[in-house]
Amino acid sequence: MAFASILFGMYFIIIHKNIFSHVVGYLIIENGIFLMSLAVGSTMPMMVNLAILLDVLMGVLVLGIFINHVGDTFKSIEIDQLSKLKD
Amino acid sequence: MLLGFIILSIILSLVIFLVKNNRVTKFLSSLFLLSLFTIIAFAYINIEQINSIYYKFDNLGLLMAFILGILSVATFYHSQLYLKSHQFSNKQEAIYYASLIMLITSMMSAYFAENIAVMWVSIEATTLFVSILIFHERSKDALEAAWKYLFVSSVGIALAFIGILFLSITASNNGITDLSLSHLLTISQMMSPIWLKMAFLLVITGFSAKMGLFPLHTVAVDAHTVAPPPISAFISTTLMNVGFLGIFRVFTIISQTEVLHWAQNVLLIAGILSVFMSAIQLLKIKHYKRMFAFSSLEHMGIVALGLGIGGIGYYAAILHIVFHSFVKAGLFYQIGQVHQFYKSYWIRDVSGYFKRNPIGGLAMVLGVISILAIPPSGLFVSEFLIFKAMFVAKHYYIGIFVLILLTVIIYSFSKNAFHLLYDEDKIAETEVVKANPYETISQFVLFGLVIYLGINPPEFFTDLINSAIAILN
Repeated sequence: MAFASILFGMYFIIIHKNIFSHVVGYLIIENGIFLMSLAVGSTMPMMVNLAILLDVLMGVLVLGIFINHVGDTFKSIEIDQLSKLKD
Repeated sequence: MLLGFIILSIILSLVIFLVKNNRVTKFLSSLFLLSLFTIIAFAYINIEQINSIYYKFDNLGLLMAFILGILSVATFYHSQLYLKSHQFSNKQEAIYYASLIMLITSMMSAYFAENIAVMWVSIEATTLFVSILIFHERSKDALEAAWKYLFVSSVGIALAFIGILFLSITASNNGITDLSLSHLLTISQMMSPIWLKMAFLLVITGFSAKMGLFPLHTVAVDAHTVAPPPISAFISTTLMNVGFLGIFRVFTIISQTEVLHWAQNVLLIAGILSVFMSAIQLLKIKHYKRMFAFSSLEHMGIVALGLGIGGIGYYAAILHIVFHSFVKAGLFYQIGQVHQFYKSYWIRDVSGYFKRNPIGGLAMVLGVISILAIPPSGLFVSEFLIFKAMFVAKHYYIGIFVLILLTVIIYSFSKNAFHLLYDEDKIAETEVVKANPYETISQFVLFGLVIYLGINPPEFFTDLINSAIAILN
């Protein structure tokens, strides 16, 4: 189940072309990882687990802020807009 | 003590963020630098001791923390110059300094973390703060680079976490339920090889986004293109060291087992592909900061090769990463100064720098010589040791192939560097920019340090490296 979730999250990121779906895919991967860490049997101390969850929360928050910025500047959240940086 | 330092810097950065006053920001930043040096000195006194439950002042972490301390001073100084020359609002400056302080703190936490999960959390935190700093100029390119860096790094680090979970699966089968490094080392011989192999593959793929190694190096390159020069200096030096440390910690566990040979082959492949990619990309490069970024890719490839060969290669790899940090940081500070003259980083726009600013040009020449590992530079010593290890270990084909790639890199790098320094000035100077020669001092100090450490390394420096790699031999 956890593996399925991680793989599906990656598949989700690859097939979608807008960045909001990418973040959803990232969340699916994180959920899969959380399930897997449960399956391993809570090996980590409580503090560390809390820190990991807080970190993921912060990450998604910052990603959300950036989605807003991308939406404001480019007037769309398709990834085709984000391909200017190359040689 | 380290936990206290982390809490203190969180408070400092919150105050800076909320007050948004220039004078307060300056005062609190210097307070932060002071506390950073205190904690490094404290770590040096209490070396090899557990601190704040999850942290340990180990040798390699201390070495990296020294680099971080030296570069932090230079970065704060150049950040101040950068912010002054661009005229940002007070709010933006406050955000810049607050996230810079948090970035340095999370890097310190990653260096000294003894528990692998804590290290993972710190590395994820560095990603968040550095992406805020990459976005500092608020342009479309900056947005694109920040988004790519944040997203790809986050996914990569999530992959690394799966690798860490695999480690914990095989560890808990052997009765160790916390992910503390010293506990894992004691049972490493009993771990099942197949889990270890999968864990290592996932960890090296995930952390390669941070270290700028082959599979996920692209995001770091894009980030360099738009980040403010002092931040670029951080991304390609101390932040790459964070990724290196992440891979190195797992590698030390693996080095005790029979999987070692396999893991070294993985590192060799990653290293060769990194140098190869960088040689190809440097041939068609159009942007100076991207050029330096690809040069970082090459050097990280060489470090991975050093780890992959073993023997004297371990020592040389760590020496290489230290020297590369100093030289690359100096080059990025200098390219920031070049930008004041030309307002551009594109190769077609920038030429004849030596005439416009002789002292800065001299620093640039010294930096280019150092980064290409031409003799007085310390990088020559470490690269020489790595190739020596390669030929001693009878990896002749790899050695010759990488040497050919290095000549290609030296050709394209020096072609562009000479264009920057000596070519005819194409654009008429619109306004006379005077660079303060004192702004170049930090670069000269960094390059001089590399030459000095290469020729005559002090004893405590070699001792630190030797005890850091003692566990591998």
